[in-house]
Amino acid sequence: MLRATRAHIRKDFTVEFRSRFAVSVAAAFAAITTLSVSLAAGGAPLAPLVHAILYWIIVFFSAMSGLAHIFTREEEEGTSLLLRLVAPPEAVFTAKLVFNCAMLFALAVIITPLYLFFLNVGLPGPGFLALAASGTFAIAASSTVLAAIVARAGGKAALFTVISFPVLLPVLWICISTTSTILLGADADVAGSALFLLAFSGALVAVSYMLFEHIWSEE
Amino acid sequence: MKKPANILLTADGLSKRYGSGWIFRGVSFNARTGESLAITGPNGSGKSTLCEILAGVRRESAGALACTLDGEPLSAAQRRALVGFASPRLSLYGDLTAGETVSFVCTSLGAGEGHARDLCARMGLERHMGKPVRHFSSGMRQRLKIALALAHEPSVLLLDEPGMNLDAHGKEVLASIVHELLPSTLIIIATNEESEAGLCSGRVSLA
Repeated sequence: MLRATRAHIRKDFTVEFRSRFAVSVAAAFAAITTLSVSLAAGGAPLAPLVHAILYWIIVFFSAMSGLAHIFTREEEEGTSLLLRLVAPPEAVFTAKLVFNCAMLFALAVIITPLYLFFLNVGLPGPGFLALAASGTFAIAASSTVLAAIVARAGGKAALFTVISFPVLLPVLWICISTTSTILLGADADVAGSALFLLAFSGALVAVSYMLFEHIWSEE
Repeated sequence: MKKPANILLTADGLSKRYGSGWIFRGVSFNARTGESLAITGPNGSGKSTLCEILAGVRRESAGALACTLDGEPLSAAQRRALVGFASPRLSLYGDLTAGETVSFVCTSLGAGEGHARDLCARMGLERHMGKPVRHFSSGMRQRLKIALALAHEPSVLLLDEPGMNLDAHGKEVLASIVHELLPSTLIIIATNEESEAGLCSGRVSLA
């Protein structure tokens, strides 16, 4: 299982590195939306709550533009049959989860400095970084199985956003409220929020892991 | 040559439907190690679908499929591990080279790469192992698929339209591989080509 998972992770990163499709689309989306918000704000100061909402909306929609690709590509290119033959479903899910987490972390590394710079937000402390890390992990972990469902349902990318939103609502709500408190300079319970996000992700990953074989197998 | 595994594959009334229409109904046969079976039938009769059910990557709608190894029943996942499968429906990663594809498949299956690379050389792909698969012709892709299907020395070899896009030399190599493997392997070939069906001793016809 571990060997198949490692082989699968290496394959996914190699294919993505050569095509750069998902990362390019998501990074372009993140950069364009951040610049658009910056231009629309025109240098006017925004309330911390508005900053928090805008930041997490950009992260959410950037994730939605790229995360489903890891599964839809397999279905569109017809390579999913090869995967079903050579790798156990658990290895496929674990590898896709690792890929999505890595991709969203990379996106967060692009989005966060861009947002702070263009929206003229002061440098937040390590609490914000911990929240951003656990928030992006929660989005990637929760939406990986949804990406598989969307790919099996015909690969409609728009469907991914629609079905992901209600599942990710608790994640976005916690991320936005805690980020807003951090930007206000008040005493935010970052540890509590990060713990909730990690527990939420852990529960969803556990359920996804158990359900994945049924989602992945052909009727 | 590997030690023969005593495989018995029993299909009892296998049926498959999509929506309200049946693709095929009531397919029954027995086949064991050392035997070969041709699945024939007109286009759309469900040969490829039946192969995918036998490979363990698709579920039957009705009927039962049992596979035993030395008399012990195998689950679908265990059966999948013993099967080598090449099919026109199976696509390869265009962004990976042939060598990387061999490496990925062998590592995933827990098999060494030596046998697969020897097979690639036998299929005439030795000089092309560093090329991305998207630059391969359809015949070269078919040769690579056949080599990958044999990479882990499967006990059951399922070949769906194996001669498709192969030139005369490719078909000769394929026939010689089938003859070599037959004593230690259960071979099932889905085809409409009489020359390929003729490689097999038994036949199942899907109407």
